[in-house]
Amino acid sequence: MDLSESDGQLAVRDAVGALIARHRLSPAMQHRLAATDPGFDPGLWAEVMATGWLTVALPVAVGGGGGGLTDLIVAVEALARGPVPGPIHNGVVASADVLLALGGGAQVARHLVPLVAGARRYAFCLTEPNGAHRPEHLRCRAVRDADGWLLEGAKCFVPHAGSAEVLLVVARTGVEGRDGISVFAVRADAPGVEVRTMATIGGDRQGEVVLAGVRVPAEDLLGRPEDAWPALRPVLDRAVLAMAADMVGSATAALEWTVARVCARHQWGVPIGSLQAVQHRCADMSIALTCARDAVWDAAGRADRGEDLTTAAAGAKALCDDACRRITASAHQLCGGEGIYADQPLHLWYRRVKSFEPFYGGTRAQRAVVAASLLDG
Amino acid sequence: MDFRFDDDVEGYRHEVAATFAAAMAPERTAGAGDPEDLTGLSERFERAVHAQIGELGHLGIGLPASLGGGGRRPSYEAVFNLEAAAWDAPVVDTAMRLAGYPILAYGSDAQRAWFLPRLLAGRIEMCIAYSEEAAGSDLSAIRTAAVPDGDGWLLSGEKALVTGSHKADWCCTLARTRADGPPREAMTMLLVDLTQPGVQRRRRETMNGWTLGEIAFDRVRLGPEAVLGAVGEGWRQVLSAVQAERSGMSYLGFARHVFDDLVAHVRRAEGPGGPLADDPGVRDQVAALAIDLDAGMRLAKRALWVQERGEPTAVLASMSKVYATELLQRLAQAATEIAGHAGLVHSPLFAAAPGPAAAGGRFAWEYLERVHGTISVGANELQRDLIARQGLGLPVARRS
Repeated sequence: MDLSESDGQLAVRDAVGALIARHRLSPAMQHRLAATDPGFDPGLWAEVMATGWLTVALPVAVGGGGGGLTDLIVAVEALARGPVPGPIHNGVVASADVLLALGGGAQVARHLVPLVAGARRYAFCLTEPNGAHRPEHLRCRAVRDADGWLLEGAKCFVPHAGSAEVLLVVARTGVEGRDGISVFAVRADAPGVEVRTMATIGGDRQGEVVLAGVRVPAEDLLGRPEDAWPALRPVLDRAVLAMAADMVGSATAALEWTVARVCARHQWGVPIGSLQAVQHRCADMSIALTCARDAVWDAAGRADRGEDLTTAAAGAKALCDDACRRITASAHQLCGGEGIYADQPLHLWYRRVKSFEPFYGGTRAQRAVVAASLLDG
Repeated sequence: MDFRFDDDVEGYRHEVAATFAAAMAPERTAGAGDPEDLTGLSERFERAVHAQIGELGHLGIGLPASLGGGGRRPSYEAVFNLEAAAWDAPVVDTAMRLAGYPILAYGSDAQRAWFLPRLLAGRIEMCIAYSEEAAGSDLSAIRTAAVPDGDGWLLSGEKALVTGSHKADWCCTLARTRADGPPREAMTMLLVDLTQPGVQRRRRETMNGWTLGEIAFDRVRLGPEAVLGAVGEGWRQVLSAVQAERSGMSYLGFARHVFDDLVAHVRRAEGPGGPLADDPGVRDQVAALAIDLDAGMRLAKRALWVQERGEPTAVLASMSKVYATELLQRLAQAATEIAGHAGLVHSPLFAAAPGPAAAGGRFAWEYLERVHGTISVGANELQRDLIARQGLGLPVARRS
């Protein structure tokens, strides 16, 4: 048993905190940023990418840090505490893992290296307008066309899709079911691609991606045709765990904010934090946060030791969905009327936690993975 | 992070599990049931297992070798408690665990020399009798009093909510030794031989069939050697941290047992609409409980890890106690609800269950049993007070 955090991990947390303090993104400014593309501060984002925190788990050969999943969740958790908005999950974590898992040498050089360097933005397009995200449910199709492919279909709920320059599109090229799935790197400015950003409460600039007869050159099929799903499955496990870490970061910040607030806020001549009803809710938030954080760190540790991540990541995501949502909602309750203003930070964490809930298949889908491990076979 | 027990601890866990598998085998427990005892087992069976486990050196596994213990880290004691509970072995509330640590911490050389070998060998049963009808969480309301009598004391008063008093040879109790002054300076811990004149024990049936005890002391004559620690220091002694592991692992042993029973039930049973294992709602509930059980184990392990590093453990111990006792209630609710009518058919532990009972009547037993976990050993409200104040630094309330 070793529950310590390494000096390097603590240093990353401090460095992220320092960066956030230097930039002083006020809640009101963040709220305004989220209303227009790209939805984040490009200068701050460039700095984040330049630190290499979000690419720490990628191989050194592609410009990554050669670290583990634990190193990544340290950074994600710290960025969420800020909160720092940006295409952390879909644009960097998932997109990079997709390129790493499927891309050949030339594709890695063409796509993954600029992604890691922060020179080009990517979006991972899996989910479809009806919420489909499992291989057997995907309808977006690609058919062979001369020496390339012709892509037809729609993707949806893609965070920060509108500011991505390359879309990593999951499409069916073969049979129905799990075995006919391929992934293409599609230029966002290719003819037939249309991205429409919609308002979601998560502040993550989700886009609907319409692909109407989009021509894709053969060299932009990632890996071999019809072979993508076995490689995507572990990508999704890692993506899900990174989301859980993000929720933990938000919940941590919301609890800290709440504790400071209930100590400072006086009513009837006493700090409201001395009232038992308030204390007990804070205690429950603290217990839930400890459980959520340890679930994420445990799963990351398992992955870094080479153990299977699927069930642990699903359990951590399901736990964090519920626990972190409750924590950020309790924070609102305890901070009272002042907390509901847009120029106050609580709603940013409340939104951010909620934004991850529906991926990939939502809380119940994660629990279904855990249930299968117990009840089937 | 690595939440796995270290290899040596895991090895020890397997060792005690194997011991319990043999000691608690159905052919051994057959006919040994006693629904009036919290363990569900007869005093004779309990004493036999207690002595056997003591002989194997498990009871003092965490005590220094110089005191006759195993000299192992708190993790060893924790996995012992985990497995003892998971196997329903009658060595969860042992005399060592209940009274051994106060004796170790505050006992005189003579008291340690007499009690420790007996506690470690599992050859003495003890109970803790602090609470009174008017003094539950608030021990300052204690009225039991010991008045000076020659070189000793005369003890009078009534203690309530005592686990296992009917079978205890000795009890560790708390009494006022000064009529005036603040309660913090007026209390003294006493060790009382329950077989002596003036001690009366009554058993009072709880909602789940087993009994708690009430002990009436009527001018019980105690010598000076009955005082545990210092006269007037009882309040502080009772509240100060004990050396026992406080991870809450025994609750998680019970939780694992019920959860395993629930999974077995769901995998096997048919509901009116078909196999329970095909019901998406049931699958969702079972998965949620599995996730919570894992979370409870991690919380307990974190409490242990902090303790073994010599850091303050009170906040995590309270978190683990709150989480595990409330998890046991959720498990009992889910299991009874999923099992439906069959889930409400009740059987004491180690008793033959009526045919339609789910899990041998265990789910219904759990539903009644898990009410007291959130109340006893420091009500969860008090634990939450502590988490808020010590863990989060919230200000102490004014209390009238």
